[in-house]
Amino acid sequence: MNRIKNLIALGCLSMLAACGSQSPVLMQVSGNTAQALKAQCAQAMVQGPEIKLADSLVSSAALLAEKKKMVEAIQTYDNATVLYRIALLRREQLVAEKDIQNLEKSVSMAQSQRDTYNRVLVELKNMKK
Amino acid sequence: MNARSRISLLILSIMPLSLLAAEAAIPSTQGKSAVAAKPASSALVVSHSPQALLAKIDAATKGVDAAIVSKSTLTTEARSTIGAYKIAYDKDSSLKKIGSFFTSCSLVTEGAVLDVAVLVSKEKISSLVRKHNAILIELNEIHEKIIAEERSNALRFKEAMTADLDSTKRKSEELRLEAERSKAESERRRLESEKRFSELQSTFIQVKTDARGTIISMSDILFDVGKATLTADLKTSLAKIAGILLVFKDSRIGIEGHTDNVGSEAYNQDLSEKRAKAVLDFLVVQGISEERLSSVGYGFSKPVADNATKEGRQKNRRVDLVIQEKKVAN
Repeated sequence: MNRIKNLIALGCLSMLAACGSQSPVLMQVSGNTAQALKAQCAQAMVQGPEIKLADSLVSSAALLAEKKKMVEAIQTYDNATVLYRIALLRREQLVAEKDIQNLEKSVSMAQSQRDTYNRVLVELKNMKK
Repeated sequence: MNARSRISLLILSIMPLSLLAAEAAIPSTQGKSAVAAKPASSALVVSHSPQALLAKIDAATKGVDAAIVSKSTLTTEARSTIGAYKIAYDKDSSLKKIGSFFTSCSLVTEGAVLDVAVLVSKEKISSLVRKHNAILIELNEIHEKIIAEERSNALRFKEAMTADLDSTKRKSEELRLEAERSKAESERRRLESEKRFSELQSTFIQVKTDARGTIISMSDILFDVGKATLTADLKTSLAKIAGILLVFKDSRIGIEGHTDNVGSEAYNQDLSEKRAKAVLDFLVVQGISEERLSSVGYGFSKPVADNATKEGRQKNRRVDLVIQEKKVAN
């Protein structure tokens, strides 16, 4: 997650910088951020509509960069970056939901076990009387 | 920018991403978007106002802990972007001017909503983990209490069993000692009674011991001839015997009358019964409980000597007192 945050920070910087100048360096930063997230999504085998659209945007941004349309290229890269982040978040949310389900089951089982243990303890104490 | 991306971004610029995703806005492999095929009029109803975007973020963060919201970088980013978008929107809200900016805002807003949802889920996971761990700790404590109770119960049970066993052993030992004491006492009494009975031994009274007990044989000379009346000598002897029997209360006395074979069987049977009964009655008068006494006549059916001789017949005419000590259990 720290890696993503760093990338986000870089992306934000590039967006802000792009507003003030059309520096190819900033465009490079946005492009690198998008590419890094794309690689991360591919490595994590994240799929979905956002990935397809983001991949398409990365290609478009590259073409725009070739045509020296820096503002459009940066904006397109940034949109792709957000889409990759959304895709990653969706995956994260799915995993979290499964974790929650499993944990709720575990908690329920542990509560049931605790009730059983308490009953056993009461019975053992009653044996003394 | 290629044609597919242009179409997609155009759609993005007029629709929130959620609608885009829901309606599969991604161009198909055939290069034709399902949403792109829709009439443009349906997309025009979507609001482009920054307030609508902020409202989405507000709805997503409503009721969520401020500390959690503050962790969402996308939310911060979205609010900042929307702020800039508002300035542009207020200047000129035409789609041509703000379209691409709105697309970026829409995306980052969607991301912010999702980011908050993920953070809420993570917080819920943390909370569940804490709850689970707390229950596990509690379970462990209860388990230890159960083990302690079981040990305590087992110890109590063992102590009770040991005490019970000790008590049983003590009782058993007491019973054994009591039996030994009784046996010794019985033996002492038997010897004492034998000694005292043997003191009665005379020409007419024979004392012997066999499997049945102590047998005191009294000669018929102590009776009047042919009668069952007791002579003074016999009464004296019987009184002494009664005195001994009064002391040794645990004994039972069987009185047996016997005759020789002179005369009819019926006569001898009757005489033997009467003599045995006369002795019993005398002993009762002397204070011996009737419950301890029994009498029987055998006539001449149980001779102890040859009836062909005078000496033998004399030995056969007798009354036997069979004294049985009460048996002591081991």
